Amino acid sequence: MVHLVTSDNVEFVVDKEVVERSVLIKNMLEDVGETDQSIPLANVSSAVLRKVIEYCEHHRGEPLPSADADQNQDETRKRTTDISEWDQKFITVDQEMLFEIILAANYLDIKSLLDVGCKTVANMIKGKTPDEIRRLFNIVNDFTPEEEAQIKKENEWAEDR
Amino acid sequence: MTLTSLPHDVLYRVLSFLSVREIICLRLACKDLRDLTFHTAIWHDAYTHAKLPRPLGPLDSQSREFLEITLVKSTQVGVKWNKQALTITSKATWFEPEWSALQGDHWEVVAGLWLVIPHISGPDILCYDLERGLRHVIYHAEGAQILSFKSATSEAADGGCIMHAIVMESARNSVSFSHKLLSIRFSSDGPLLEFSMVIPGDVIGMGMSQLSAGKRLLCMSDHLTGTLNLAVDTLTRVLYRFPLPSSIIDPKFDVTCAQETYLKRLIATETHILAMFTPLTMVSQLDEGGNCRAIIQAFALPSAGITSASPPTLELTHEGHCYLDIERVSLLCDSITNAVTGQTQIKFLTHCMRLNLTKYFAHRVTLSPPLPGQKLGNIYLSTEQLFSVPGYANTMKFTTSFDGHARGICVLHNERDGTEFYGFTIDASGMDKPCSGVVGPGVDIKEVEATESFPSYLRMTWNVKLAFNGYLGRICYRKRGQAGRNVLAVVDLA
Repeated sequence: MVHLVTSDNVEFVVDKEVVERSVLIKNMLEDVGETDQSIPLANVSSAVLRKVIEYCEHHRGEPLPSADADQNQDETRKRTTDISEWDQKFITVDQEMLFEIILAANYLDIKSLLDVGCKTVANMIKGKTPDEIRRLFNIVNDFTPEEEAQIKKENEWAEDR
Repeated sequence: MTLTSLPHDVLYRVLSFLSVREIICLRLACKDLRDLTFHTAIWHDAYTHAKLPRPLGPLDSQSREFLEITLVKSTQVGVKWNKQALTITSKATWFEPEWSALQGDHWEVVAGLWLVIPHISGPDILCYDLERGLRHVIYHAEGAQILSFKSATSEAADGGCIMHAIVMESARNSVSFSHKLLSIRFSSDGPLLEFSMVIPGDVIGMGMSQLSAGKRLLCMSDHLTGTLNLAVDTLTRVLYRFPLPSSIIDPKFDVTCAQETYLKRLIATETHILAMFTPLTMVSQLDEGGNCRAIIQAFALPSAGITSASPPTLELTHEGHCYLDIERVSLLCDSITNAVTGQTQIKFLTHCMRLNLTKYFAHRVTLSPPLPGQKLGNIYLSTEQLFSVPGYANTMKFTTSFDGHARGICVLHNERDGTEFYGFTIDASGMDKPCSGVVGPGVDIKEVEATESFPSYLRMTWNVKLAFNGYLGRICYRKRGQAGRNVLAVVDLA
């Protein structure tokens, strides 16, 4: 069992096999060896870690992508934004949580979860106009009218679907 | 927490799942996202995963601008050419008294810019710059007249175009004939006669039927004698003969071939010349696609180099048979050789008309090295259906675009006696991947012609030349004007 402490000081006790889906923690455990000391995760809140552990529990036992396999997997990974049904349901959260999960997956180095998050964001962008993208993500249009006219002129082809 | 506050490496990952169009949409959203889309890594990544031909030199050394422009152009053209109905952007007709003797297929349009017309029964081959209206004489037969002209165009390695032509001339003051092979290079500077060579009379027959030019090899057959009779290595300008007919598959081949019991088709590529034979008498052996069993033979330049024989003889290297409508075969993708397996792949396009539908097929022909103990290598064919158009589309033209996709136009006559054009794109760039293709909505030229001051009556679509420059498709066709005059019509589609 591994003890994790979140930024809001909540302690989680998790199976080693589950928590080792995080490459960061796996490497850490390999470095320090067996320990009862808790690992502080200053960048992750308890709400987010709960979700991350839920994901790792579900995918427990699945083979981890090795570092050098990354290159080959790249080809198929890039081609599709399909997400499995369970992952789809799991990632149906509000935007704030989605970004937090992505950040945590990035920090903890859980490639498959990071991909699920990034694909979800990509799927949200797909098929939308720049205006719709701004509204969806609450982005402020910070172009000056001149800049906007210029950039629109260069790229207007992308807007008609 | 917002999208733009995510770290850059995470945002790159998001972008790696987006298409070129979607990346451009992000660019228009706000400054932070715009700046992100100007990173070379993103375009490098997108280019690697797009099925586009590799530029010269390592990909790492390519600028963001080059990668982006190529990808954007490819996407734009894809949207234009296949998702929207083609629109006619300009049209013109052109008439010159000099063209009065023009007949049949004795003319060529190179890259949509140069019209090449021989002065039949005269001494000159003329070239008109369609953009600027300039007239050049690109070849002059001294003391002779041109009787016939066969041409084929191919793309040059430097991006220009090369037209090869075989002309038959007769001397003005005697009854002797001669054949010449001309190679004319077209670049932004205009046309230039690179070389002309006389083809000895015993190498070429009188019935010039099919001229085919690949990236390196060029070949022609004689429809009068039914023989394969001429191959040229355009790199070394050496003439080759075909070996005497022989076949392992059909032991009587050498006899039956000479007796014209075979239809024949020749296709020249960079590495091989493919000869296809379909027995004329075996109609009962059609498969459900209407294709007849065909024998395919591949010939290559002699591996031992040129012997003392003059002219030297090509080597038969591969033989196989398959079901293929050889009359409608056109080269889709020149040969690609896998250095590891030694296999060469060549791709063809065919179409078949059935039940008021024209279906298009891509055929991947794989030439494998001979198995141990065998003299000839095997030929294997795999076929994919690409798309279909309603009606009988009897003419089809395409060119290979800058992004490795073949883009073209098929022409069909509908029941209302209109002529429709459909734009299509075929992705044939993958070595071992199946080809895929899409066709866009059609445009009826007749309706456009009828409503505007453009001479109507277009039935001569057999004689259509097509060029595609990445944005525009240009169709040139020959029409009969008043008093039987030849009129050239030029229509631009986008």
